[in-house]
Amino acid sequence: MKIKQKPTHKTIIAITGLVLFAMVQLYPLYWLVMFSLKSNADILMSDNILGWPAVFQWQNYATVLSRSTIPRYLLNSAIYTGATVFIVGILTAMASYAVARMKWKISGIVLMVFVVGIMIPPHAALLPLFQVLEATHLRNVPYVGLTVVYVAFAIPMSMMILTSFFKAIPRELEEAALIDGCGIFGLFWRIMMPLIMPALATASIFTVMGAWNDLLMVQTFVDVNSYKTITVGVLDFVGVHSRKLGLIGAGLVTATVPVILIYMLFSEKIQQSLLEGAIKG
Amino acid sequence: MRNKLLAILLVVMMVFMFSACTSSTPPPAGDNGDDGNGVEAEQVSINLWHIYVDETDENRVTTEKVIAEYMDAHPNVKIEQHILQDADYKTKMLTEFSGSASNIDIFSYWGAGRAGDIVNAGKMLCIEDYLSPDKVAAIKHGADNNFRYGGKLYGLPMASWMMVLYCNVELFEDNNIALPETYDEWLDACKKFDAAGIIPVALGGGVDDGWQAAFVYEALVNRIVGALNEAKVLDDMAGFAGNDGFVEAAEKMVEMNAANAFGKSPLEIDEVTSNVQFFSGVAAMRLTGSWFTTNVYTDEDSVVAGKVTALPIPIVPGGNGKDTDYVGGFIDGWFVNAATQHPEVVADLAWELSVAMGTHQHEIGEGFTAFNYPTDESGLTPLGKEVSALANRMVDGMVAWDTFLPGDLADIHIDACQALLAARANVGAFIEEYTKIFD
Amino acid sequence: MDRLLSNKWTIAAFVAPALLIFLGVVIVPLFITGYYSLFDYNGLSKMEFAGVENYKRLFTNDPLFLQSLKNMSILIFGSVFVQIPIAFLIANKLAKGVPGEKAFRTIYFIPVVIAATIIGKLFYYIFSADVGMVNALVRALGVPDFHFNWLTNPGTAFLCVAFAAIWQYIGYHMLILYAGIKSISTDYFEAAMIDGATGAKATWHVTVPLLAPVIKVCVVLAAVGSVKTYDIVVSMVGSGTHSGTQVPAILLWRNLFKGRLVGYGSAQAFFLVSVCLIMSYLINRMFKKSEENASMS
Repeated sequence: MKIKQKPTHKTIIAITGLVLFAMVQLYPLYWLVMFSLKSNADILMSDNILGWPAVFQWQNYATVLSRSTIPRYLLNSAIYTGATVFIVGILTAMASYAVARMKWKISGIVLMVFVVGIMIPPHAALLPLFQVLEATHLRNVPYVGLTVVYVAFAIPMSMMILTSFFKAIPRELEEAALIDGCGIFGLFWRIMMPLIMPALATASIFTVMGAWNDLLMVQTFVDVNSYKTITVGVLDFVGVHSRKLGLIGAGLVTATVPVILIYMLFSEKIQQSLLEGAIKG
Repeated sequence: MRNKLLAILLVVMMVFMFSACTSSTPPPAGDNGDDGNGVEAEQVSINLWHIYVDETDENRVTTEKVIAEYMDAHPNVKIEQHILQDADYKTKMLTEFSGSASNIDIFSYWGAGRAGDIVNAGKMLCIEDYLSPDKVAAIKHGADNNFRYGGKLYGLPMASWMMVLYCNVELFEDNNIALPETYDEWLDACKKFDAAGIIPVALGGGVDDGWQAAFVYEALVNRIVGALNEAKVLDDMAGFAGNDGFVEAAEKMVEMNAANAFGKSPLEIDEVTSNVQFFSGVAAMRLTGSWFTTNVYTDEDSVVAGKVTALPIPIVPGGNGKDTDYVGGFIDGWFVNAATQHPEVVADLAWELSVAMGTHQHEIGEGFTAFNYPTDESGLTPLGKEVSALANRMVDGMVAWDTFLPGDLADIHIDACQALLAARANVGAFIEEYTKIFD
Repeated sequence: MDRLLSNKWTIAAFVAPALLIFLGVVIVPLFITGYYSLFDYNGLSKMEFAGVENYKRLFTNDPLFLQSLKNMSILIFGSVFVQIPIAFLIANKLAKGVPGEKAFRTIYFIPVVIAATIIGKLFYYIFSADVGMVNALVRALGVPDFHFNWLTNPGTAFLCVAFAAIWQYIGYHMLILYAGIKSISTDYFEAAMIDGATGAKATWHVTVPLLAPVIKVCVVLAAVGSVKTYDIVVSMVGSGTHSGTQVPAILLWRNLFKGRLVGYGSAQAFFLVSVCLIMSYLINRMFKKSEENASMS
């Protein structure tokens, strides 16, 4: 039960601090948008702190958005990311449940093996990975090759988050469900999965970030232009001896907005589930 | 029992899904059967790779023009472009050529050391075998030096570039400074510009454009050691230590930097920024390659078109460099994967591309064609004419070291040159680094 | 129930898909990397057995690498001892309930979602000597011609990069910790309140111990993430070594792909992975003790 208190000094200071920090956190977005509306000279020569463009270069957005490749690239990014999130979600929910809850001797070792994945700098495994994918003919299958790579690299993080959340769920719930006659799959799908929704949403955010913002893997593994993603698309504006920075900025904004929207969407989900979880617990 | 069955089913399903994905074999590169035109001629599909990302880049425009014309003239040929920007391109090439690079038929690359790696691995097509003798003879003498390995031609040059000192004449006149012809005049001009608050030489040697920093060193070496001697040292990979010219060049570079010749923070600035500095009229000079000529007129930020003149690198009195020596040469070119399925067609395409691009670069004043074919110089801009006249005087040249040396040594070179522009520049350490590489 | 939970087929069915994909894409290449590290290999054809030569060179003859390790340590230290505490304080404050909690939580995470290359460029424009905000501010405050080379002065260059990297991921840890704090049952806090502990005391004695497993995750992620840092450095100061800003991942990329020293680069990579393993083992050990304490209470 909460007693409604009048805001104290401490609260006001705290809120002010939080608001200031929020402004700092939002600044990159503001800066990026301003950047995308400036000309090269404006960007490179003026030290204008406020960052307002001298002349608003709205045509940068016109150029970026009218390029025929951009919608296709956005769609591809969505496909890769969506597929990755879905697959990773299911696979790691199952695997982490097994590691956290089921009784088998090597569960700890298996978890460690997964966790090692977080420690690998992507560049390190790139060449051998390339050779492996070539050997298994996976590379040239549309969408599948890259998705498999994204899934694999997203698994460790997801495993870590989900395993620790599974461990925090009281055993009584499982016992009760099993007494009620649930099979293991029923237990998993109908009881466990809903419970870990906040964790799953959290893990998915990380998966989205990894897949959507990736540049290295796309360039290495996807050669056919119509299967490339928006992160590569932005580089279309980078020339050998010249670069139109504002255009690149506009491209970057186009690439960043979807992720932020997705994040906000998932954020809602987390919030909802957390509330429900809090009431139940 | 029911659970056990379910579990088995799940695993089996997974395995099936997995193998179903892998069993769809990718279409083999080279036989594109859906154009309906393949009655006599075989369908040919070519993957063409290059680094000209910017759509307004002349090189890209020419490339695409050639591709379109080629496909028109040969309806059974389908050419697909793949473009990556420089750093990523190099990464991609190494990754692909560690295998068979089956997705690459023809690609733009750099001769000498870089292409040499692929040639030595036996993965480069010996293009000479697929070109008629009269075509090979049409390549200017000396233009293919960096494209021959064991005497045979493995790639095609396009055009030669040349390092030029572009000067904003208006700024010189406004500040009563004479255009520099010798090193001392150059240093002096820099000091005067610095005092007047103008960036003397715009140089984007920072971030990942370290090759610009290397330009300064190479320019000085060219004038002190002389192009022929320089080329010999790099060809033999020996003779560096004994030659004081290399030390002097380093010392002069440090001297210039100390006078703020390259602005106050050359290591922070990249190529684009320094271009814009010159175009906006806040920098008096720009030391860069002849490709810059067109940009002076076409860049959207340029307010200096018509005010620029092209000078050769200032002479260092007492140095071995003649004023017919130049920095630059034939190093960019087109190469073909040895594993390509249609060598004749691809070699033919490579030829078309090289000639077209070489000629075009010549005609807009960005470079000097590698071929003995006639060129139309009527469209040259005033600056282009100057650069062209300059180039016609030149005799001996040496390309930028990082395009000549193999990958890891090129890195060391660029690092070292950048270090000379750093606060703690140390000529002794610099020379040590190079001695290790060369001797 | 035990029978159900230890059924081998079930376990296999649950774990196999994730494990198989992971092994094939991540672990197998890792072993291949280890294999290459024992060779002098240029990625194309030349491949000579070199034994531990590459590793010897790594430790005795590569000052660039040592500098990069030093930088990496700065990142690790900063992220564990600066980033995580800040993230915790914010997460704690938010989780306790403030107006606009949802909005704050959403906003704070945004820098994490933005690609590191963008953040790197942003901080370039903050610290740039010519056009950077910091210098502009100092000039505006009355020091004319202030032109400190933040990004190329060896003393400050990497610190600026570290600042950017650490700042970007505060929201990351905040989110994880926030979720953790939220899932601590309010019973614990009520019990503590009855005992007379509120505010900071409650936080120290209740929240932190219960949060130990989550904090551990954050520490491991922060440490390991520091090893992998790449994009933000390259977009902020490039991949050059002139100002001592190189991090291991940059050298790795240079060696592997520009320098064609695949054997040597692989040795570097393998070394880095080992460092991560050791770090995570040590972190686990440290937390084991506090986990035991927490479960006992």
